[in-house]
Amino acid sequence: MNWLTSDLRTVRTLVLKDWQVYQKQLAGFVAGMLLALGLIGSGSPLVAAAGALLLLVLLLVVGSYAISASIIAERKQQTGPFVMSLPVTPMDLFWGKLIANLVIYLVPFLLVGGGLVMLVQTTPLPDGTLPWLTAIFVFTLLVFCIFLCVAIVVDSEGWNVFAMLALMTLVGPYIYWISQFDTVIRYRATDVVVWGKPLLALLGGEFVLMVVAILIAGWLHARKRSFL
Amino acid sequence: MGAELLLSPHSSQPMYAQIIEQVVAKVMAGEWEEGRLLPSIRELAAASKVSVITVKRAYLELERAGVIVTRQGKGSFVAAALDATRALATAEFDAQLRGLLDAAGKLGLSPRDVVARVEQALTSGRDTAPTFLDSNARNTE
Amino acid sequence: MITAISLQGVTKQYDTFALQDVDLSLPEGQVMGLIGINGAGKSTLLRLLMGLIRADRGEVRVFGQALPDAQVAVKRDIGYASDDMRLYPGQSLRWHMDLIRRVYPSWDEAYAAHLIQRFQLRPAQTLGGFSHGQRVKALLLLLLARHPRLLLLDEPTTGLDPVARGEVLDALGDVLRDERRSILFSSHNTAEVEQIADVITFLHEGRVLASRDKEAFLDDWRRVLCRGNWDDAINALPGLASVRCSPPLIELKTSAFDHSTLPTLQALGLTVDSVEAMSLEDIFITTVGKGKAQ
Repeated sequence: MNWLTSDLRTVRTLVLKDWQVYQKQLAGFVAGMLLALGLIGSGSPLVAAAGALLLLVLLLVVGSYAISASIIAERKQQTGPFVMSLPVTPMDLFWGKLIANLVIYLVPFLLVGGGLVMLVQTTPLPDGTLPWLTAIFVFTLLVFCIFLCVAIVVDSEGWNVFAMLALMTLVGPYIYWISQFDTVIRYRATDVVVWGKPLLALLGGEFVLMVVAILIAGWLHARKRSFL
Repeated sequence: MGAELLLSPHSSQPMYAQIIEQVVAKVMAGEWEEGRLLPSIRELAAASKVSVITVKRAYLELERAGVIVTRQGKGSFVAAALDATRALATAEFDAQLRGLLDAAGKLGLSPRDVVARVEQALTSGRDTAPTFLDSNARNTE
Repeated sequence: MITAISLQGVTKQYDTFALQDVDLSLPEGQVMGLIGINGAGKSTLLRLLMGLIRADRGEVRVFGQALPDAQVAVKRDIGYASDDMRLYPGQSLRWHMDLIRRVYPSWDEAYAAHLIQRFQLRPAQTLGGFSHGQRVKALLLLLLARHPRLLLLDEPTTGLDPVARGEVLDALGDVLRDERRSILFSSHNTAEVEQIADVITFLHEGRVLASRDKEAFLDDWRRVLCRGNWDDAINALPGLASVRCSPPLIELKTSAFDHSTLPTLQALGLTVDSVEAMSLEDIFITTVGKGKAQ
């Protein structure tokens, strides 16, 4: 089965279409995230913690909202047949959805990430939190990636909701787990940035996992011999 | 004003018959003069919103009756004046003949019966058919 | 002669329904009307022609190319609209037009503007605010403005008021002018099929009951009213689709009317009161009622 797209231009058009459809909502989320950053940098530990929580929630929600809007809503709104009637193959739609959603997520993600790094360096927040924050940040990207792959491949709304909830509940235990890392315990409250091998390996593993998830989803989608 | 005929899908008369009748009417009224190029089958179909095949059938019958002449690759033209009048009368006669044969069918007359009655009518010089047949003549086709 | 559509031995199985052994073809430049009750397989047939689903057996070809393998090339030349198709409710008609314009090089902006006028649509309005009729017309506009060689329309006029229906038929009439363009549409409105179709295909329970030139098809069907005593031999009349008795009258509907029909009835001692052509609607109801045709 053909893995690649029939026409790059077509995929670009599909990505552009999704971007245009979800622009407004995206702007709202970015505004919310900037607010959260503001809270984090405010100086008061309580407000900072509230801001951090808000940021985390928004990162997780933006992802799942974008996905549910573009993929699940498309099924509900029945815009699927319209897109399928364009000169596209099922694989075109796969890459289109994947890239569109990644872009829609990465824009606020990188923006906020950059903002966070700046915050940490310029405010009284200890610089040592950087590796720990990065690990959490990248984890939300991983969660998003996996959820995206599940949504594209699995048609059932029930399973999608289950996947989303399961992934989100993992965030708590994950944060607890990395907080137990040696380097984190020792350097988080300081101004010294130490990554440490375990953390770096973890980050590497997370990226590998993302690629694997995409490849599996792609393979499963390529096995589809027709749209419906 | 134009290539359009005034056809109605709701009329009890089949479409192709309406087309034949209206083309004949246009020719008889002089609206479509001798030698005039008829709208192409597709053009008439599109303008009147009927299927191409229906227009084709009508044109075929009109040609068979001699009302129009079709030249390969050039289109269909209204037949020459002399031919046209005769052709119109012929078309009318053909329509009556169809009506007659339908009525004969309903009565159960065999072809031989029909011919016999026609011969009788011709030799006696007057119509021997009972009146109820006239009113039924338009019932089909 | 180029064949626009060709289906050979096509079979598609679903849990509750199956399209079986479908053989159909449509030459270029013609209009095929597909009729059948809900669930007869019309939508499935159209989806097969779009390459949206793959047949279990048999061959599906459009313009000679096999589907769904060649679907990208084929879909460039096809315009498809179905009942379950929706546009993006948060976007305007203009946005959709721009999207189509980017994807299809054959987009005709001038003709699109003309259709906007004819259909009385507002390009700046978002699709969510369109009424059903406006939505259908918007979908058709997006198709027609790129002059596709083949139009596959799944119930294009269903749910439209008579005026809107007229506007749609008008626009379809434009397509008829070009002898290289073909239309396949399914409809419940038998009057409309009777009017603009060149070929009628009758689908029932996943099978093709008939697929013929419209005039020939309609010519074969007659409703005969006769008078006389019932004779069981009447049941053996070729093509008999329905019989009703109310002594002394007998009403027969047959799908194989020819010059031998009336003599046969008369030989059974019946007198014929009238012979009428049947509307496509009547043929449809009679056929589905009896489960047979032709």
